[in-house]
Amino acid sequence: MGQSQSLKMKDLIPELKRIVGDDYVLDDQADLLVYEYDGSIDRGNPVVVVLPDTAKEISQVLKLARLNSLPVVARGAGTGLSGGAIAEHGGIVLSMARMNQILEVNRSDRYAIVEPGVVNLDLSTHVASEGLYYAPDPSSQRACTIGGNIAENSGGPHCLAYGVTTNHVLGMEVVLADGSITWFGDNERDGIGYDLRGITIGSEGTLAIVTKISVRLLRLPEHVKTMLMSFETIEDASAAVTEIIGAGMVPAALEMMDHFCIKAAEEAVGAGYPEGAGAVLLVELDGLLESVEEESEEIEAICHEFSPLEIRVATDSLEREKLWSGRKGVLGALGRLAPNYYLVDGTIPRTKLVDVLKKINEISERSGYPIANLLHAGDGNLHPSILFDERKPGDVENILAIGAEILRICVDSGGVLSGEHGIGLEKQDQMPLMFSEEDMATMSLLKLAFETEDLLNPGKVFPTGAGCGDISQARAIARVGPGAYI
Amino acid sequence: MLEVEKISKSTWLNESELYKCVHCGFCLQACPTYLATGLETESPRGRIALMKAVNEGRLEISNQVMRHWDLCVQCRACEDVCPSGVPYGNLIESTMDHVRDYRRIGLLPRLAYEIALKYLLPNQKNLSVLVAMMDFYIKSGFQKLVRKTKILRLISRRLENLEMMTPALNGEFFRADGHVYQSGMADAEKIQMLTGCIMPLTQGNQMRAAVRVLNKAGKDVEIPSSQVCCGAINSHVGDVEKAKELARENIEAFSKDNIDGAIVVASAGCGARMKEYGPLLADDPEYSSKAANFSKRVIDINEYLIGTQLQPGESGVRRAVTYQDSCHLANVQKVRDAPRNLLKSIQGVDFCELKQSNICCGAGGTYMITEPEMSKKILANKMKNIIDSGADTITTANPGCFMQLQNGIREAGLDVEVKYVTDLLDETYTKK
Amino acid sequence: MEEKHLIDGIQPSQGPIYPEDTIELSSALSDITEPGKVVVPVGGATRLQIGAKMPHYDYALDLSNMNHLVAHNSADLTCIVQSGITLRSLQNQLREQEQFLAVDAAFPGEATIGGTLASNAPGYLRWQLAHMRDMVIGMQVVLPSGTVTKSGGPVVKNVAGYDMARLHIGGYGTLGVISEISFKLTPLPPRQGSLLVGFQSENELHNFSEEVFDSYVMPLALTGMNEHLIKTLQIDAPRCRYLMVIRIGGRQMAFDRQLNIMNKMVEQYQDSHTDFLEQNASDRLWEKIRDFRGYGSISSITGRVFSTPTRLRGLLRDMANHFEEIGSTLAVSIQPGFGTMEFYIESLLAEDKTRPTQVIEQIHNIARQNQSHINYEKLPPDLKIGFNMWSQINEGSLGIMRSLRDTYDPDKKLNRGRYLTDKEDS
Ligand SMILES: Cc1cc2nc3c(=O)[nH]c(=O)nc-3n(C[C@H](O)[C@H](O)[C@H](O)COP(=O)(O)OP(=O)(O)OC[C@H]3O[C@@H](n4cnc5c(N)ncnc54)[C@H](O)[C@@H]3O)c2cc1C
Ligand code: SF4
Ligand code: SF4
Repeated sequence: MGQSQSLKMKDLIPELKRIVGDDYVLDDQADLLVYEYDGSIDRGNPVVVVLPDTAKEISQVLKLARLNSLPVVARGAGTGLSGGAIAEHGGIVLSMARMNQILEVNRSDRYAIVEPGVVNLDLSTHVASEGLYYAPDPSSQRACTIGGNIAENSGGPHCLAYGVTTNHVLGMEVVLADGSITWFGDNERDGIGYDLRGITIGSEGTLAIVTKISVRLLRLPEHVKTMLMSFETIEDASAAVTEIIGAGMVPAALEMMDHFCIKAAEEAVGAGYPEGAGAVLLVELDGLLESVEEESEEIEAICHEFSPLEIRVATDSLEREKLWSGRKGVLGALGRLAPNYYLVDGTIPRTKLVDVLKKINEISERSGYPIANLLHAGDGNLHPSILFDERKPGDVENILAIGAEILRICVDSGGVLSGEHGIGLEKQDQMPLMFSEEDMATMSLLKLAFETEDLLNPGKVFPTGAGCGDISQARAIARVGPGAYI
Repeated sequence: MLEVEKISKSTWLNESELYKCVHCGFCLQACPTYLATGLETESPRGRIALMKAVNEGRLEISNQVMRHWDLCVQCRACEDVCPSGVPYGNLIESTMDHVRDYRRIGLLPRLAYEIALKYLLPNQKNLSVLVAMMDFYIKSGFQKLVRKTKILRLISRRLENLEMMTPALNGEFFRADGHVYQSGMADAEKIQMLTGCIMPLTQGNQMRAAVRVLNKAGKDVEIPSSQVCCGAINSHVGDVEKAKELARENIEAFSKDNIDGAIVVASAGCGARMKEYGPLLADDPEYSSKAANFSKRVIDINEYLIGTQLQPGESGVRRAVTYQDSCHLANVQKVRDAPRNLLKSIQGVDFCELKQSNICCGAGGTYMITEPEMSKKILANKMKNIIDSGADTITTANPGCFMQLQNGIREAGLDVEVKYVTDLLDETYTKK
Repeated sequence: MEEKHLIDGIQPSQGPIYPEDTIELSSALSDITEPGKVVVPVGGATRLQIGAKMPHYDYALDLSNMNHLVAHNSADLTCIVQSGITLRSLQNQLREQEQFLAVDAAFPGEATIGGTLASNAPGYLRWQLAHMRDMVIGMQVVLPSGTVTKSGGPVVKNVAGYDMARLHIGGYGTLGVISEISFKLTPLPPRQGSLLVGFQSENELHNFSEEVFDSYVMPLALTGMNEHLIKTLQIDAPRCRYLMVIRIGGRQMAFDRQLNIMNKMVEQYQDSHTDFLEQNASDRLWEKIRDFRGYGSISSITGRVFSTPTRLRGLLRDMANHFEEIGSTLAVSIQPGFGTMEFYIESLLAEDKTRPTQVIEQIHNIARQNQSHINYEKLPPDLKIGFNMWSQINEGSLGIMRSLRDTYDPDKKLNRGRYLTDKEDS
């Protein structure tokens, strides 16, 4: 098989070069190696990497791929944490890096049309002078692309009040598997027919290649207030979160970090988090000056019920940035506590925070692996990060099992497998935890309605078949390179 | 089954540093070569992935692989944004050192290269002869003829590029002759200054301006005579041994008479290198503590001036000024606000931020000569941003950046002047 | 035989079915195995008239007994409901915990949540300018075969698996029958009220609404209307040719501030007239606006245009001009924050049968020229024949929509012949 494929490849490469230009087709072994990973633990080698510049070129590439039965995997910035951009089954990696233009900003209608390779933060920076911004702000926003955000339906700290990617996309141009180019939705906020826009968002590149996106822009708020509240225990902090939400507050952001995270963040960036606290809450309110003030008073009052060690309010943008710097740097900083960490992403009802965190803590104590808890607490999105050392025999197997156990706890408490990082390769075999055979079959019908050949990002999202945790672990371990665990 | 098992350990890299990289991709948007090409092969994460693959025995070092490493400008912007703290600078320097043996380059270019690195740059006298010859070449009108006829293009593109790079000289050479420039103020503090190797020759006027500003700030400035090149370029291209040798010489030159005041540096690349003499000589039993101590004394001139009571002249200057971060100042020394704040303190300066000011201009030491094509690609983007900024003056903090920006501006035909921050400060005292 | 099951004058040939829960719903569907039988899910029957002319149907699957609030997790601001619950019943129960669902539609006493979602019913309430679909966090759907499937869940952030609920919002029950929904809730603002501003010119109306849109005011609802609509609704707004109604809510200080901002703005408009309604009066006014779904007569027309805020200017102007030309009247409301417009025509029926068709074609042209799309909420049955109820959708999207329809309901058991996917059948 290898030979017939390589024979075909010989003809394929010049064809691809004709479509996108010589410089934008990579097939050297070394070059392909650079596209074998994303931000996750998985790896897979494409046969060729193509960097198109237009939807037309993508259309031609897809037609060619179909003719040759080659899988096509779109790639944004490769920051994904579930292996979405990995060419598991070889084939073509379609990098969106060159399609990075902001095509239109319409201030009065508050939308922008961008190419998929535009970096999330670049869009907000670009429209800031118009007093606007693009709300979804994944922590990776400096690097990740809007196209990738669409595929993963990404969220971020400020999605609590403003919603995730799907709430901010009006329409998009796509190339379908057969190479046809069309728009799903428009620049309008509402439309007719099935919500193809909505169904494509979060589909992890398995339904269509997104080539233009019309996004909703919001007005920059009049006032922003950031507060840091520290508590003696993580239970107090979680109870405060539940209370804040229960009181009907919807802050712009409500983040929580436990003592591991506090320690790491302090060492790394010196954000001024109080030492000795069991957990801190980072609360940000924005909007009308008056509503920010009214709500912050109420939130402070609530926190006082849980005997906070300290409540600190940032008074200017510099202090605000300092408070955020710890939160934003904490993931990287965990490397200071242990050589590796494995970040788990799950969501639970916000009333279950205390409960679930207690269970996670029990797992940590029982297994002996420290687990650092980092939460988008406001919307119940947990990121327990298991600290370990891959060089120790057995560690990898153990932490993968722990990760699976944590997810099971999330699902059992009424939660879900992933809050924002997607299923991809990482969790496909855990899908049955949450979905019945029927549920998954219904989902896979959707894919069939879009394309029957299964060429767009095949082998993702759905279980590999065996549907058993052991296989997923074995697979993950086999692909793991030293150090690479998120 | 496990690839991990067949890893053949190569020893040139510090594995605990290398495997800190979790391929998160945060560094992509900081990297000038990635921004210029959109190719991950020309990105920090890609370059590290290649190091890992070679380290794991999954990949042989080939010309293709080396090409990707060579194309790194070593601006170290990636290091600055990396949340995992990957010391990319170390990794690439060790890699460049390691791959020297794999290169199959012609004897002649190699000889020229080695001569330049080992004899010309480190030795101011030798270099000054060369630069004087270039100066004659420019002034004789021969340059105009050459440029007009594009005769060099017939011979080689690379040669033509090199010719375009010939620095325009700015006044007399500034010599490291042991002179102490007096501020004329009572009980002025005495500080020392590094001249570097390129700047005093090509930008003598700017050096003198810097000294005058330091004097205004109430400092007596000594230029120790036995100082040598800081060694940055040597380690850049992988000649770590020579870099260490130069470091030791400088440590001696600046420690005569047991002086241990500030060592002010006007060239960001040199400052960055010298601030890292500590780690560079960490294994040297004789020099390790001396080097660490030396590094603590090194300070960039912008950073230094902010800490003084310097008052810009009242006449001010009337310019729309922007600022291009010099990589080795911003990314390595983490000095970003000081130059901006100095500029803003000058009467009449209309300061505007440059879009992507934190992205390298493509100068990168010898990079503009060795990788002219990529360097130009990077520079083209910079020019676009300069036009957008609307500035009539662009400031920066390193001679390489200074020359690169001058070249770009000349080629793009822009009406923008390149200055150091200290030039503008100096203008506030000298202009009426 | 219930009158509510009469669609375009057609009755179900086999009569209604009233499932009590999902299991009964599922078995009802799986029991219908005879090929060619057509099932129409029915909620409150407030929007059954939408779509191509009903050709024939066999079963009315009436969900009005599936009317329970399954769970209200008020501390988590989420709830799970059965799809047959009416909007009013749901909102009443949520109000006990000072919460509400930011979804509204006409006739909340009858309209069910399922029908509101399935038919993408228009409403005025736009919390944070979000769409109704943004409140849905999970959904249980029974496929035509009777298979019960779910996606999402009662958590507010979720990317596990495809976002299947999207297919059914605005899907008019053609891919499956919605049986349960999880929602994200909103706390009731402590203070609410509405500002009415009347203008003499269309231009002022647009300028003002753009200013509001551009300010820090975060309206709960915002709608503008022309003279005919003001009169038809009998709103007390003397001397005004155009009226803007802005509903705001929030804590006291924030509320006052928003009101101040708008009152300041109004000062620049010379002939304007303002009025402020406290919560109760405000609520009543909005009910009146919301429940006006057009004129009652059989020959009346109601349409909804999807556009962008600024395109509404041209759209409104061109529509008004056209109706002036043909000497007919048109009642219009616009929702600038959302870029939609609704128009109501009392009657176009004339002796000359071709005229109404021409007018409608002209309206389509106007929409096209203004880069907008039209959807009819109501058309006289005889105009439905041979006329495309559904606005033009691009071929690519339509292709996928048809493919979805074929995949999930290959026999077209649900709502056959009325949705845009079934065009060629009717
Ligand atoms: C340190 C770190 C922090 C993170 N924080 C967050 C966070 O706060 N919130 C969050 O939601 N995520 C977070 N992520 C995950 C990741 O950044 C997001 O999933 C992001 O949206 C991926 O974007 P990307 O451009 O890197 O896409 P990639 O990783 O390149 O691709 C992701 C998926 O998108 C598909 N895709 C890409 N472009 C297209 C296209 N044009 N058309 C169709 N499919 C396409 C790919 O095939 C793949 O399935 C984080 C990641 C890291 C490393
Ligand atoms: S930012 Fe750091 S960890 Fe991330 S890919 Fe770049 S070097 Fe690796
Ligand atoms: S040092 Fe500069 S050029 Fe080199 S990889 Fe890092 S960012 Fe890119």
